Amino acid sequence: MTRKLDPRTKLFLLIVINVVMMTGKISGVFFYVRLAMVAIPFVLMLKNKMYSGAGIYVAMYTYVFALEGYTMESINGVLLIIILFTTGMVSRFLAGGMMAYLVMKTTTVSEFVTAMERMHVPKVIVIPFAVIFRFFPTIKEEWQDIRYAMKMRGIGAGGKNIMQTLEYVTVPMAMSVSKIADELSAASMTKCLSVDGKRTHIAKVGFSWPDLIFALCAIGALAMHIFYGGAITG
Amino acid sequence: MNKRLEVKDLINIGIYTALHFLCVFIIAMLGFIPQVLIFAGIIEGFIGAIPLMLFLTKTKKPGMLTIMGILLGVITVIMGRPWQSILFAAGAGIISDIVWKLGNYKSPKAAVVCCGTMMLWMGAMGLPLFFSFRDNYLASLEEGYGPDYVEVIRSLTPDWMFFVMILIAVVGGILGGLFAKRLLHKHFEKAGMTE
Repeated sequence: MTRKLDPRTKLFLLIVINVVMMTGKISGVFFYVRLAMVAIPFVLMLKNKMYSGAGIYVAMYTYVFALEGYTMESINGVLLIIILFTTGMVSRFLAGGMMAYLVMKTTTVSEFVTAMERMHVPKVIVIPFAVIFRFFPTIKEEWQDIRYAMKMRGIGAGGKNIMQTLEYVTVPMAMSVSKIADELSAASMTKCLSVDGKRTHIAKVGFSWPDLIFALCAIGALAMHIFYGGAITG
Repeated sequence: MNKRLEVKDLINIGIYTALHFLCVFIIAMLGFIPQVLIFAGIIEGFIGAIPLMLFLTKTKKPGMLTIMGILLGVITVIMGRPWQSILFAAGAGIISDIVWKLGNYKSPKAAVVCCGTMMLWMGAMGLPLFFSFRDNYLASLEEGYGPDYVEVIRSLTPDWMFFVMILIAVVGGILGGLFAKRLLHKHFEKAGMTE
């Protein structure tokens, strides 16, 4: 059995990937730093048996990196800007986005809450954060349902009258969201979240050797980033 | 009335923070076009105000908006912004909290102002472009997007533009608040938020 990564490690990796990919330099040795950052979600995808996703991911990055190297040297003008725009967007956001997706997909709420409590993060932060974390996929589902309902009644999402479309989207969204909030708080009642005192867990959360490897990798990248001309220094 | 935050309140905070963030983030993607970058704030505020308004109908206790601000800050830090941005977002939360308290947790006028003050957290999103972060960030952009693009960005964003951008976002928030107030009129009446 392979141990899962600790949620804390995953969050740390997510932050480092975002910092390096979004604001780091690209050329020279930093190319390899970026490559390492790109590799992290890839390895995790393989570990979670998302083979087709991993394939597409690698293909996209190969394409983008190759294009970036090629265009910078040989194309000028408007075309350059357009191409760099698309490649830049992909190379900056894809790794972080993928990592965020993986964090959400592979971490259960109880693991997340346990890990955060180990870090002594107060409950008023942990619970809303856990909700946010679980809520992004739900928003997507609701959004699709609303779009579908609108289509059935012949209202396009683009629409001529933007204000009206906005109303048709927001009001059902508001209703379903407040219902979801009620359901979630009912669910939390059964889990005794509102009871004070120390909670107990059956979620196994702890660091193991894969955590160490990934964390060292990330710390290395971050150190490179900060000491050798990275963008953001605390 | 019980002033302590219950789990139900915390869940509401989470849900509406997620919605608000998503609305703003999708629009913020447009900010990659340099000329839009400056004015994106007004649309961000406008759209972001809708979930915010809904959230305010459920906010009857002190501290909830502060927590929302902190959470927004945490998300921006996770997205690779400098850690100082968390202070911005938390500040926005605290200010909105005070405004909403002065409005007695039900005044629609205060709610509209809240939508504006909450948008102060956009300062956190724009932070890497300004002050001491500026040169390094632009250097990294230059390698990624080419010198032409960076030249446009550089000429469009002197340091004072930071405050203008925040101001624009705040105005957008207030406009959005006014719009959301009309849009969700019936809904608000049910929640007891009338003049």
